[in-house]
Amino acid sequence: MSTGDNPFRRFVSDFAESKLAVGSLIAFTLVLLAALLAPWISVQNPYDLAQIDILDGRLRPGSTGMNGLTYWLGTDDQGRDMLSAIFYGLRISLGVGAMSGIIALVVGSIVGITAAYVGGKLDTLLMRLVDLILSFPIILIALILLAVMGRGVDKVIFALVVRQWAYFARIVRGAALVEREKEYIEAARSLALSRPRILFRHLMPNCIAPLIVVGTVNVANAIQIEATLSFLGVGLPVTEPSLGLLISNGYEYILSGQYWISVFPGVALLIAVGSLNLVADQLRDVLNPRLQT
Amino acid sequence: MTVFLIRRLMQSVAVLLVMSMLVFVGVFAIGNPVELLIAPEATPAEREETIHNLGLDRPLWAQYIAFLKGAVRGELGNSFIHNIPALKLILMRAPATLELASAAILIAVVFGIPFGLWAGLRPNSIFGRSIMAGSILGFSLPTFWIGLMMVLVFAVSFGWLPTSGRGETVRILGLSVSFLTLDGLKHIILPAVNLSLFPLALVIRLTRAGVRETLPLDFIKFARAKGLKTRRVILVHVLKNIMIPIVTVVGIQFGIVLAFAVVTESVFAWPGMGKLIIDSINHLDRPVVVAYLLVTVLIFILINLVVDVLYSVLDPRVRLGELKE
Repeated sequence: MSTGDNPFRRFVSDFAESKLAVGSLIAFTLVLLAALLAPWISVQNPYDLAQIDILDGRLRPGSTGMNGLTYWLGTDDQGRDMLSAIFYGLRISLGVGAMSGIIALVVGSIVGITAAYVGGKLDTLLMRLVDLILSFPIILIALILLAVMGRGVDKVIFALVVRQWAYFARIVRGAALVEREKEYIEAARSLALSRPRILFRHLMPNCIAPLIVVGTVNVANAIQIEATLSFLGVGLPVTEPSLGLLISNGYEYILSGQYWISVFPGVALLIAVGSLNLVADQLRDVLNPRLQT
Repeated sequence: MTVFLIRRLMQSVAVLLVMSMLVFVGVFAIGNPVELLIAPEATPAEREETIHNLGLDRPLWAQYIAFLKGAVRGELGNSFIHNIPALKLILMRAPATLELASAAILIAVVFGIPFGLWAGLRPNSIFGRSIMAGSILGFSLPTFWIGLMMVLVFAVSFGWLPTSGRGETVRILGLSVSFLTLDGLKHIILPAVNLSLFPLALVIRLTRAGVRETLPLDFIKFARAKGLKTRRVILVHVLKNIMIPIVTVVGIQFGIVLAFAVVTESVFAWPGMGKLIIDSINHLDRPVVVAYLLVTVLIFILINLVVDVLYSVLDPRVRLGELKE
């Protein structure tokens, strides 16, 4: 085990011990780049109706369309190039996942730290709420909320956040409860600093480590749940190019052997979510004090 | 223990009430079911009559009170679409979902614990490492996509197994179960395996983590020093100590699997509750949606209660801790 001069270098070298994790990090970065640069690397905008031709529908991977474009991954039933559709779909999926993860993290951290610091009745009330929310699986809560609110990107993000903030709240509260007893907090209090200042400038930075792991897993889960909801028809509307929607479109063609409409978006999802989970796994091992000998 | 139980029961009733209110109000806001069920050509008089018959003309809180009164008696209204009691509709479809969920959890436990043990005891072996990589795949892959791939591979390409539906059923104690017939088994394998992947991955990881954390502890060293056979050390000392979190997680997973069955049922056209709820949401069949949500919330509260009690029974530290208070 190599030692660096500072903790960050040590962290990086610990992380790099697992080649699988490093490979996953690279894979995820590629996915991220593909999503961010989608409009520039796709050969066509699959959601611009002027660019697609229904006579090009359901072509096999590698075939050429009426306008001379080569469809490396085939086309779906509307004539959209699968590769472009996947890039755009990744954009939405990663966007929804990241957005819901960040909002849930911020909301959950604030609630968790406040509960830990203030303690007493507020703490009990908030943690009961957290327990309640976490006792229901996310798909159920999302189904209920989306059944009520209808489809839409903001509604999906809202449904995800409403449930996931509870994870972060619980983790942050646990870490904050430990930190609260430490001397530097006592010192800050004796300096008569205001409560919010102590909370956010002294306590919070020291509770971040577990958040990193949970945050990564959370984004991966959010991407997956959004795809599932879109597949079921209660997630994103048909105008948004979600990977789940692509897969559900292809469902009816599987039985006739036109597998590419469903298979390739799923592979894209797998790479995105799987690489993120592998990275989170290594992060968890590296940051877990119990496993450090 | 009794105080704990009573407190939990009261909390559960409160939760149920709050959820029922949320669900009722929320579902009412989806859309006007009147528009769906009355033909556009209906005269205003006919509309009035239908609205009155379905009880949709009374104020919201009056509808809610009537709903509660009925709910306590087990009457949750008739389905707008099928015109039979909503609760009856759900209970008709429930056994199929329960069967699927039980099969999935069984697979997850029967394969998960041995695999997790292996991965924990021999982490650097090829099998151990592939188990861990496989478990990551298990919860990275969206269930519905894996289901589609399974249909593609096993049913379409190889033609070994049927693509959808439930097989022949046999009635036991008034419930129809399908795993006792060969045809039924053929139909249940794919969806059950599909549904089991997520809890399987979790059980594997949990078992492995437990083994990794327990093995270096002192009491294991003492057991070995005493000269106990390795098999006994592992099976009795290690396994028993890691069982507690596994049991509680499996209990909770049962509830989650019940919820996730929605997806598998959609892919495999399994005639259970999950498919019913998706259709009802899309058709704005309000009574069925409300009834399903209430039944599911009730099941969850029950599962959580049982898991909590089980946890305090299994872990003497929790019990004794409570006594001290």
